[in-house]
Amino acid sequence: MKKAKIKYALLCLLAVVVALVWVFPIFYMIISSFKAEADVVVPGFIFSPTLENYQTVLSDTFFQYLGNSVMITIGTVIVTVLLAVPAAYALVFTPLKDPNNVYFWFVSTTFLPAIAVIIPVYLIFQRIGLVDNPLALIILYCGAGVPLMIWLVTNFFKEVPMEIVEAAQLDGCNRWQAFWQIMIPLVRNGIFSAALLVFIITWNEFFFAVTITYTESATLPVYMSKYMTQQGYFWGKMCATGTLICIIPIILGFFTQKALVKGLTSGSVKG
Amino acid sequence: MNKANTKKKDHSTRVLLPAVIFVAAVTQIPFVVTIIFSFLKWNVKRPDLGIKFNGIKNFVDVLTAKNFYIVLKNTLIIIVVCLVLCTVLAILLGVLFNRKFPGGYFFRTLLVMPYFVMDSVVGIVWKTLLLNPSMGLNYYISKFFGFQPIDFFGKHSLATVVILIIWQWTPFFFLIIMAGLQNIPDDVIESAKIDGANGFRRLVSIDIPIIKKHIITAMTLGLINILKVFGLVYVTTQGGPGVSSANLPYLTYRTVFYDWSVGRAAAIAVVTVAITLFITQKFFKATNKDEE
Amino acid sequence: MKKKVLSLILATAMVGTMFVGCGGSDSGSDNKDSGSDGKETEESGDAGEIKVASVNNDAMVIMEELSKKYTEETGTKVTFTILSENEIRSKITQDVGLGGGEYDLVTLGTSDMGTYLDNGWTEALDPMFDALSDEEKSEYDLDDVFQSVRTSCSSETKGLAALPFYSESTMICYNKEIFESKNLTMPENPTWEDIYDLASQCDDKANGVAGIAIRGLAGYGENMYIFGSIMNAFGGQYYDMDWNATYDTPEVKEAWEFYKKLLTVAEDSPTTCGYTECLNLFAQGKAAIYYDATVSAGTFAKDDSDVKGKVGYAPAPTAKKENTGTIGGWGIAITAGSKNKDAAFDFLRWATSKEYVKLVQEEKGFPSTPSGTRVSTYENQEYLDACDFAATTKIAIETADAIHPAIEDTPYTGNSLPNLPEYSSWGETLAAELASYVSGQKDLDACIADCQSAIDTAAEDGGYRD
Repeated sequence: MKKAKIKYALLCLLAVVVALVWVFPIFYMIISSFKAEADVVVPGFIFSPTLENYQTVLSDTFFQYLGNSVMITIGTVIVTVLLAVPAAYALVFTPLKDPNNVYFWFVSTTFLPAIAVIIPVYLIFQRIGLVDNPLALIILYCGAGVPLMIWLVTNFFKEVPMEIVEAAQLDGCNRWQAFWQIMIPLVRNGIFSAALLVFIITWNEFFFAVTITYTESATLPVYMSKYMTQQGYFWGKMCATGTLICIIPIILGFFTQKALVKGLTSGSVKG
Repeated sequence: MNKANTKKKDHSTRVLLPAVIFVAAVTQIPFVVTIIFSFLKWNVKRPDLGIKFNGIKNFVDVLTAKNFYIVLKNTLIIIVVCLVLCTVLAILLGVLFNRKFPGGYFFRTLLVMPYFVMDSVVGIVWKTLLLNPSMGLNYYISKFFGFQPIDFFGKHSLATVVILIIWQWTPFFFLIIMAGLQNIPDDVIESAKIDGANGFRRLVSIDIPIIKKHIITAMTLGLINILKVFGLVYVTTQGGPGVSSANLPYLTYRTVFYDWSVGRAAAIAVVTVAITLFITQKFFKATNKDEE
Repeated sequence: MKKKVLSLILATAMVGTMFVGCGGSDSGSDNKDSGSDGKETEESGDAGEIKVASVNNDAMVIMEELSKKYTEETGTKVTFTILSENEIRSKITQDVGLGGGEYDLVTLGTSDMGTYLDNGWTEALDPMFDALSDEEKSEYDLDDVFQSVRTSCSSETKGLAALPFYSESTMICYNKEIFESKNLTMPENPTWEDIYDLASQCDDKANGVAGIAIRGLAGYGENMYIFGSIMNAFGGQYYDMDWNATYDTPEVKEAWEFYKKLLTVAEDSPTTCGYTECLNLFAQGKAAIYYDATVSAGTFAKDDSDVKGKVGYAPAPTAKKENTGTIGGWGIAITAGSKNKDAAFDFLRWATSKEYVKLVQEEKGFPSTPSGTRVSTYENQEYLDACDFAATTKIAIETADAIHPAIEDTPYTGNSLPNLPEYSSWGETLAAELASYVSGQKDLDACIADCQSAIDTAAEDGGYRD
């Protein structure tokens, strides 16, 4: 019994070590962001911390880009949920000719790499005058988010036991009452997880952002690009910008990880 | 799939339609345009030459270029190696972390972090602060132990890209597989214990079959995303040296933004999508068969 | 099926309208002008806004900061999009080439300026200068800009295409401390073999000092910028006067072999080191010699550099050809689609004026001076005293010859980067081949053959031989 306990403790220790090693690059970036430019290169954790990098990086432009990022990301998540959840519900619970085909069509749209459509996307948005408009990014990101969300949420709906659906009907609910009052609470965690994934993908997206924005609607990853440079040395500032961009998803991840795992699990509860 | 056979007709398509129209407009129209572009000869930097119909020459050029096959091979290597290793690592990590200990939640969350951060940010950090053989941690560690720094992005570029992808995507696999492991009912675990199954056998014969669905979900989502990996390649190796670490999305990027050859880039994009569809279809078929 | 056909037709129609727009880009931008007239008069109260697309180097970051003073003086708001070199090149080409017309001013590398004007993407500056009053002309003093720099900022047929905000050539920097400790001296006009000998004597990577810091990272503006000047020195060139590719000559091969040899005494993992990496290495005292743009010398002279006061300078090394310095740097051009050309021109003149040079020196110190653009900058004794590299920089700029990059005549101009629109494409191929050769993945003949065919195909496809 004692042996088993030691083994258990050792495995826990191993888990801690693995986690620390795995996250080290991010940790190192955060540490480096507090070093003066001259100290960044030399490894080591003893240095006089400075906020110099942050003072440089946190300019007015940064907050403008941050505002864009927040607005576009939140906008994308909301629109995605509004479009995708009812669609997923319809795919599972309503009579359609061939829901499987529609479902696979949605899934297959996620295969398209952004780079494959970049020039057409730019030309189209230019034609309709949406270049450098936050709406353009929201539209594009929803284009990627909706299929992903439908994919995940459909799986969650499929796991809802049929008895519950039937019980709801016996209670005299119509389909949309059932949707709001019974289904949504059941798959809430799943929707939340999927929304979080959409949030992260949108927050970090760089390629479309740099292509179809100029000064008005550019997001934080575009700001970051300023420090991903071939000219001059800005490692400290680069780390500071990197940290600032990552901090929101990291915090979000910290507080929602449990729900995220729960949400992903809820998809597999067998009825 | 459809649970509604018994139900009355209603206006359900009205709910589905907005999503269908929206996704079609945003993803399909640009792709149709890409297909049309793939038959054009169009160099953006030479407006004096104009835009001409080029027949299937773009496709011929793409499919006869040596580099294309190197890049295709790289793409396949990346996808196969990453999928296998991410899955195996994520299962092992899942088993390791599927236990209660003080701070367990905290450390598990740390492990997941790499998935949450932007790929070009971590790519740059890896490239400059960590693996740079003259200035990064790589140099100082090698010096400390007295050996030559490893030339990660020069001599082992593809392997390094693969490692970085694994580093970033294993947490995502882990997240989904963890969800599965936590969901295994206690009585299953108890009965396995009574049967006296040891750790590894229990994993292979009991845990993995139960979480198979999670594994497949993780692999499917991983497959699609790893096929599209661009940011990591772009900021670390830029596909090089030569094209030794380029994948298909990166090749497309280079053709658009260096060659400015819109037609040829579109042809590569179309071929890429066709290959992606082929691979994912095979994958879906294989996993579906498994499920039955 | 019906639906599919319909959507196809719809899409085709959309594409069709796009082409109309692209083909007649001139008329398109005219429409835009007239359409926005009303808007302009509305806004004329606050003198409007200028949008600048800029690469992020020190000089431009300073300009962004100091542009606030310009706004105070004139009331014109100046907004900057600053991105790293790769992204800004893509973005600018996309904006002007596909008719976006969002930017008023764009920063261009030397190899792009002429071709962009030829393409009708930017405004010819000569007529704009002609339209100025005599007072404004003499205030700006265009003749004060180095002749060699003006040449490299011009199109062959349409004249001045951009104004330089900093300009550079290439030169050798070396760490005097390391040279003294090894008892070495740098010749006044070194050859490439001299540099190799010196570098191999200094090379001590086990102790963290490389013989030379030199770019090996693949990229048409990275390793090709440096290698191009080596190739020119060894007597190679890309095309003969009939646009036949001449990349398989013994001269070119010799240059390739020399470059590979040189990289053995250079930094570790050279194919991952571009401008920034090499700059950092030398600035931290981790390399004995440095061959790159003259503008780096300003970085080494700053307070946070470990080699401040320890750097010696020499002109670009030679082999068969003299004057192998290669004009580089960035200029600013006015886009053809700009709705605010006069304001843009006004800001452009301000940002490249003598007063601006003085302003930077006052606000940021002498090492940050926009270098290599104006003769008068180098007549300021204070600057020459404060920056010991200024004299070598001046020679490097004056002697660089953008019209005759090679020993034989060439059908193209430009130094290490030829001024050809297709160069970004085949230059990138050459860069990748060069990196494969250096890292030992491919042998010389195979690389040269692939390069030769890439250069040749480009001439064929581009219709140069017609």
